[in-house]
Amino acid sequence: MKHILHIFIVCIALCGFFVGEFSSYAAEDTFHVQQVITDGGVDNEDPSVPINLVATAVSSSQIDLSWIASTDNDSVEGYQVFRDLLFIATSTAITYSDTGLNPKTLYTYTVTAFDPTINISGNSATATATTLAAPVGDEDDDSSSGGFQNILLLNLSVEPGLYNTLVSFETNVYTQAMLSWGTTVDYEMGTIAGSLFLKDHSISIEGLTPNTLYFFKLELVDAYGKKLILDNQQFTASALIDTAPPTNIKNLKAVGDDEVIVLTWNNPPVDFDSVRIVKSEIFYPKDLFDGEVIYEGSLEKFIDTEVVYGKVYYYTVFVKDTLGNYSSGAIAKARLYKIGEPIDPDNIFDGVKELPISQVHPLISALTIFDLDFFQNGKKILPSAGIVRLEGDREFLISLDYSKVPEILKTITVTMRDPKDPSKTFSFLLRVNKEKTAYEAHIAPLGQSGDFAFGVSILDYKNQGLKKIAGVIVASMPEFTPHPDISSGTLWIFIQKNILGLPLLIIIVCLIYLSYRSIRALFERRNQ
Amino acid sequence: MSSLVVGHVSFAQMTGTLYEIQSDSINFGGGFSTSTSYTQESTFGEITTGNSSSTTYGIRAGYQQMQQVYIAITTVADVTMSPSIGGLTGGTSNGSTGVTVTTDSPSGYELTIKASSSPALVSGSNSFADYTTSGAAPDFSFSIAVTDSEFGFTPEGSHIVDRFKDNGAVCDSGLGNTADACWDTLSTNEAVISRSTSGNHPSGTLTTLKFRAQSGPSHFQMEGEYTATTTVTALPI
Repeated sequence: MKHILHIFIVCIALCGFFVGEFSSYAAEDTFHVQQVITDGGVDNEDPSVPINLVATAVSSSQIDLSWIASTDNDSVEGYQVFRDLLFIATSTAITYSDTGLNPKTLYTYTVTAFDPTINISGNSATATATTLAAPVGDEDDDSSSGGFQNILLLNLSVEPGLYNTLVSFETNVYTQAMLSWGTTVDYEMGTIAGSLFLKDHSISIEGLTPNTLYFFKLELVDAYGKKLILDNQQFTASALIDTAPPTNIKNLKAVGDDEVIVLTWNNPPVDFDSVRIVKSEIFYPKDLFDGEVIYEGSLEKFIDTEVVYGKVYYYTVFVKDTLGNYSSGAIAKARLYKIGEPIDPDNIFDGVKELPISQVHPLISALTIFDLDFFQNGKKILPSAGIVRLEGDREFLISLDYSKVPEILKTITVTMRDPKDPSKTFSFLLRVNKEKTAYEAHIAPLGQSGDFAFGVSILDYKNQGLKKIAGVIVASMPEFTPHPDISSGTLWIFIQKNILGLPLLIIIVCLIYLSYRSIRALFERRNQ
Repeated sequence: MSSLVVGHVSFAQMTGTLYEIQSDSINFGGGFSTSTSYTQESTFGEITTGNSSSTTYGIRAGYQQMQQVYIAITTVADVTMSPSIGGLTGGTSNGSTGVTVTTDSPSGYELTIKASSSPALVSGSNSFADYTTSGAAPDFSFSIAVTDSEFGFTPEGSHIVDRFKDNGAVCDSGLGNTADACWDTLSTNEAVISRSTSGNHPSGTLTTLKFRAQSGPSHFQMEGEYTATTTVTALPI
């Protein structure tokens, strides 16, 4: 029995021990967070009464009012202004200019504030002012104008813009301002006259032409009719700054033999200063500094002698315009070949180990031709059924919205195939623009009619995946432009619609006839 | 309102590569035992020991005199959010309180928070929805739809866990602790808000708890006094 009791005590002790074993120590406290929601939330609280209302007569017809802002549990929406107990205006500011008043007349003002639910404060204390006497006598005669102070023009500032210019200044007394301007000192283009007497003036002249010299004249009149004229002032509207990248070169080819790689291309005819060729052994240089600069100049050919057999060389040719803007870049790659060695097929992404499209970043994977934007003549050209119709004699822009591709390392290219020689392809980089709104390539005029198959490739470096978008650019040249390889159909249209073509037709027919006669005579002589 | 939980067995602390137990009561034999992953000191006995103080809810417990752990939190003041929100017009209301944790546990402490109900902020059958984060991490800025009303919280202090740290724009990223940023759901599940890996006795460390309720201008919130009963718990680790 004693043993049983001992065992029982030990068991109780052990139980107690193990129950305690699974307890943990903690310090804990509970508290409440309380939030009151009021009934319906209707605002019945009035704004505070505006204080320190001041009325200042600034002319014979104008009194300026100012006061200290009211407060409200919500917000102060505005102020009602009363003259001689009659409502005259609403102001969202804490100033008001009352105009059209009679000279030498006493006026009494009060102001109330109101909130968005039109709770209205009590009336402010009244403020009174008497308008000045009307100007008398010769306005140019200071002695008769009644003014106590000469007008001083202070802090004149002219801020030219492209199409407008802001003229700001201060005066020591309240004045009305009139500004006239033009391209000559006749100020023939217009006049702006202020209706209020102010000390701080700001006048915007609109409708200007960039980079043009203008003259202006300021006339200031105070409440007593005293004048200050400042004429023969001038400014030049800002000049337009060309920040647009130039078009890329055309027909870039990089051909290797057993010793050198020869690059040839065609420079754009306009907006051109030089090209810069950047070379890399890794991949297409994506900007001006992403490799070795091997040429800068305005030629259309470069021979790269710093090459060895067994390596692939990647070239990007950037066009620089006269203002230092660079194009997105045209790309080509090449390597040396031993004599008799077969030429590689032309694929700009040779060497890129492609993974399934499913592993490309989902944003890239989701792209279609409809995500590409084509612009020509300032207009957006919408593709239809994968076909983009462009004018062959005008440059155009291919653009991919910045937000449509992820901010990961990638290379975006556009490649076009010559419709007359499918073995010729030309590739360009789409580079992010300065505003970081799109990846863009400016392409020079295609120069011929035809169906240019094109492909846009986006290489996702992270996933080593490649997304390709295919389409066709249908280029058309102007209808009536004579062309060296003009076809018989277009020639007929040309002749039909252009009477000057008739002599040409007659000459051609005569030549064909004479040729036919000569060949026939030759055969007849042989048969004899 | 406060409560105190007192165990009667020493708090465990082992030292190993992965975790630390200060003392244990697993073995009855006494002495030290070692393994490759941790070292443990064993004791035999059964004593409910320790000190507790009333105002700060401190505990000093354990039956190894040199291994007892002290942990305490200050009384957490109730929060009255301000201003009142109009049921029709909507608005934003804020409030805050603080809790200071003090421990001599050499391996530090963890502070958790939880609500007693879901949703947390209720008034009878009416409630504010628990704040919904836009992703897995807390939202750097408190933002709700104009047709909703929601209630959330954010902790601030030198010991807050990474989840509430930010890089100035994103939470659970960076080392910053931008004020009034990183808003999270106050749920009935305990959420760790502060952690330290060392003791801070006797000064303690303050964690400020900020709460925000917002009712959108296109949402009607029934009038009433809404309450979120909230519990914070500090555990030595």
